[in-house]
Amino acid sequence: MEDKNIVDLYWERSENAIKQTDIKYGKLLFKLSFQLLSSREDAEECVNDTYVAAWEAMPEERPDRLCAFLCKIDRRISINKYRYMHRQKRGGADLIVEELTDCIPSGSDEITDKAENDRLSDTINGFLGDLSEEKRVVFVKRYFYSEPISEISSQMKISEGKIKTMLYRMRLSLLSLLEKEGLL
Amino acid sequence: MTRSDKAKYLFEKMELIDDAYIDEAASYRPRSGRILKKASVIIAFAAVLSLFILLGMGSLFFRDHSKKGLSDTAEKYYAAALFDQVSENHTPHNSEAELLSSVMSDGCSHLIWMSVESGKYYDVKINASQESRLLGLSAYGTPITESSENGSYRVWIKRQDGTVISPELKRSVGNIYYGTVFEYDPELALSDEFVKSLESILY
Repeated sequence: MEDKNIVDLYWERSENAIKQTDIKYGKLLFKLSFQLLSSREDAEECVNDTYVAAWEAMPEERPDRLCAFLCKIDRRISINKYRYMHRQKRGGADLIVEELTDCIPSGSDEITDKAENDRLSDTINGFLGDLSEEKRVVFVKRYFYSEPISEISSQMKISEGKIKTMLYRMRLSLLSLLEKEGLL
Repeated sequence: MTRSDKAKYLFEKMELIDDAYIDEAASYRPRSGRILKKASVIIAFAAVLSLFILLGMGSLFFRDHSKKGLSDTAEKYYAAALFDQVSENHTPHNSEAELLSSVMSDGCSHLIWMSVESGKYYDVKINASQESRLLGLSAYGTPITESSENGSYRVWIKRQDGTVISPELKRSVGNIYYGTVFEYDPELALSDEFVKSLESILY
């Protein structure tokens, strides 16, 4: 079913909306949550919470891109879940966070959360916009979808070594950009 | 805030990534060009390999075919037929002495053949490259084992220096004459290549 039709179902308050969402995006959302939480039960719970959040968000919102809309909700819920679980065990997100410390200058000052949010968004999206499609997809798969390097390599038919090199260079470029913009 | 905290913050802020890029990554499929490029390399490799195999099989087939389809005996008969036809248009030398007086002193290369039946000799002048080619192919005939395969013609190549070599004899000092030709019993059947060369020279 087309995204537009699924959104229409949400707007009509049809329970079929959730069923169709699950058919089309359930697997993707589960994978995203599972990469962060490393737990099947928790991932399933996050996906269900995502459906509930989407149900509650519409009809006020009418997302143009349903996939990204759902993924962002799912990711946010999963990160919250991760925070909750974090004291008990290490999840897959730890590794991603470790990698992203490359983007953080060692002597930088505090991040102001509010005013610079938009600038951060512009900078990240500007950075991604300057990348080739292939590099951008690798970056988003790794740092938004939290996909393992081996899986990205397999999906994109690029060697793991090349993926690692690409990611390392992109992290350094992003660091350079964030420093230049005074965001971190 | 520590570096680790900032990294966590940045990780969370990845949700600021534009929806279009998130969709793009979710629906991304490697370009067919990459796959096609790999596939084309594999196909090209397979094609080259197939070509080599075909050429190899082809050469084996034709070699076998030449052996089976045009046996040593058939080659000999074919060579005899060639000589039969060509002899009709040549003035023969009625004896060995007559032949030698004609060909030995002119400083040219000659292809000489003799009809066993009539005892007459024939010759054609050949150039240096033809001489070289015939001599190069002379030692590669297969050995004759049956005396019945002696054939109806004898063949020699007379070189510019006056030495005479028969392509039907093994290459040995005793089989290389100087200033004369000798009757002989063939030791080698003429090779297919030699007969082809004969054909090109005689026609």
